[in-house]
Amino acid sequence: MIDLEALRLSLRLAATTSALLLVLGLPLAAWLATSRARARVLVEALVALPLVLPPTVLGFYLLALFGPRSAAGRAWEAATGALLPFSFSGLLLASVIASLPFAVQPMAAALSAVDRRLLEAAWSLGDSPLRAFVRVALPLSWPGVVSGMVLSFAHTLGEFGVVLMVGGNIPGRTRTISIALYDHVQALEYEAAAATAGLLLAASFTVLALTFALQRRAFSPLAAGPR
Amino acid sequence: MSGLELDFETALPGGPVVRAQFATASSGVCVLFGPSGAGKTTILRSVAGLARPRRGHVRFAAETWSAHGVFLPVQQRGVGLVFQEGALFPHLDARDNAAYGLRGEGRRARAQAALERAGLPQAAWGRRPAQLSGGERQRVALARAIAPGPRLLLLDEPLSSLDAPAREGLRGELRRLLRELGVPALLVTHDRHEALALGDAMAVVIDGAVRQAGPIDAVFSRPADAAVARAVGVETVVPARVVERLGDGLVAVEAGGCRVIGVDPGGLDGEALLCLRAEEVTLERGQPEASSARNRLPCRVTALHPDGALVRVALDAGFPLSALCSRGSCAALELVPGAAIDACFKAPAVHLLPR
Repeated sequence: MIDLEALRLSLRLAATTSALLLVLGLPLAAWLATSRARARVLVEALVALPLVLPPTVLGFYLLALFGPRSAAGRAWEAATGALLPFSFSGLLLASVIASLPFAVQPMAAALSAVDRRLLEAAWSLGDSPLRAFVRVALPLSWPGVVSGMVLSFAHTLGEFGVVLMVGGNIPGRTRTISIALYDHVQALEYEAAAATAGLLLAASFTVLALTFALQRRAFSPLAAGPR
Repeated sequence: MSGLELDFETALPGGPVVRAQFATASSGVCVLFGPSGAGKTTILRSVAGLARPRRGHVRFAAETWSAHGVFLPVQQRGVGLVFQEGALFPHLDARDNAAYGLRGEGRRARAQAALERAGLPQAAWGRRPAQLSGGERQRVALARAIAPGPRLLLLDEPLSSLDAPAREGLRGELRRLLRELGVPALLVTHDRHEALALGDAMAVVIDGAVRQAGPIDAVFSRPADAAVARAVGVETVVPARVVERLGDGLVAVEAGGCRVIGVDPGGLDGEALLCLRAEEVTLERGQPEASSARNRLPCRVTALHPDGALVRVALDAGFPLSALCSRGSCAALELVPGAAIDACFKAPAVHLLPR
């Protein structure tokens, strides 16, 4: 029936991707939300690129960049003793890039909705910009931060094109649940395919419902609730 | 010791240039007064360290806050900031808002002391901003700003988001609080009554420049130019002293050797500011007939300032006094500098503000 090994791998990949995107995406979102630099538009476009680019294009460039014939690929191999393509690390790198907009955009939107005067008030009361971010901006925008993580989790769970290009189809290492579904169909195992597809559908729907519930919460005044 | 010394030029991105050149005393409230969009808030933000002047300097108590190559960040200036609509932290209750700038031991107690001082009822200490009225929110904003013991308070239209009854109630308390704290303050307002009620000194900002600065009665009584006169309104403002309560809610004050009767606004004791709009003053010559005007002061005309269809007549009644007349009545009364005339006005036209 459902390929449990592939499911476990997918869940591990999605969770690690979300965690990495919290660490990498949050500072990027904070910069996008507050910066007045001209380069901001370019960075915004770059972050959004995976939304419109066919995943195979992204996968192709990653392969070209980190393949054994490239300088970056050789450097990685020298440092870790393994190649990026067709490994879990390579898959992770590809997923982080492919899911970047799903994490960064909700985070940046929530952070830029925070009234700038609140941050200025915090600075005037002695807070450094970082401290004010943690004490004021984050508590006011956490629903956006959580939706960013949830969306990138869901997106990674369903990713197909990039995974196939970069990871291939190695059981236990790079064979994710969406690839397993493809294999089931290729092998005419329709029952297993139906079970897998149903699982992915249910998971995606749950995640989206959760995200919308969070966003509703973000827009109803957080302050209005009783303590 | 000196207060603020400002001489700078600043501009918001894409906005007009704003120039400020004036100094304040080391204590008391200086009002930045002027029409909306004149640049008052921009000046305040430059003093706070939230905007960086393009050139010139900002000094406070002989310490340079900003100059060429020098810019002390807002965190290190020790200013207490009160924004127009409070800008309270919506995720924190009143007590945690007031405690925000405090560190270490006794932070909760000090926050509560500040809230008490700002007059927030104890029942509201655990409420979040969304559960507070506009007036209560401004009290919390004040408490938050004064709790860490700032060296300078900066208030940007602190009362203008409130409805009229709440505004008038809080205005009197704000004045008492600012007086008690003894911390110098810079307060932005476009409301003349607020300026008169709260200010000791005043700087008039028009079209991105400080046009006049000085003691509040001097600026109101002797505007430097026509633009300032238009901004502050033609008004007599003089220091006065309460001499007698007459009953029936009337009070007699002494200003420049004259006895003037006005309506007792309550809260007066000793010193006051006497305010009188030029439109309320009528000029008469000869024996008075029966009149409802309780005040009749013999004056001498000092100058005539034509202003459109009207003439602003500057008078000396022992204190400088302005009257607004039509050109016709000016001619009929044969008003020329040096002429003697009686200035008459009703007691309700006399506004007395506690000092």
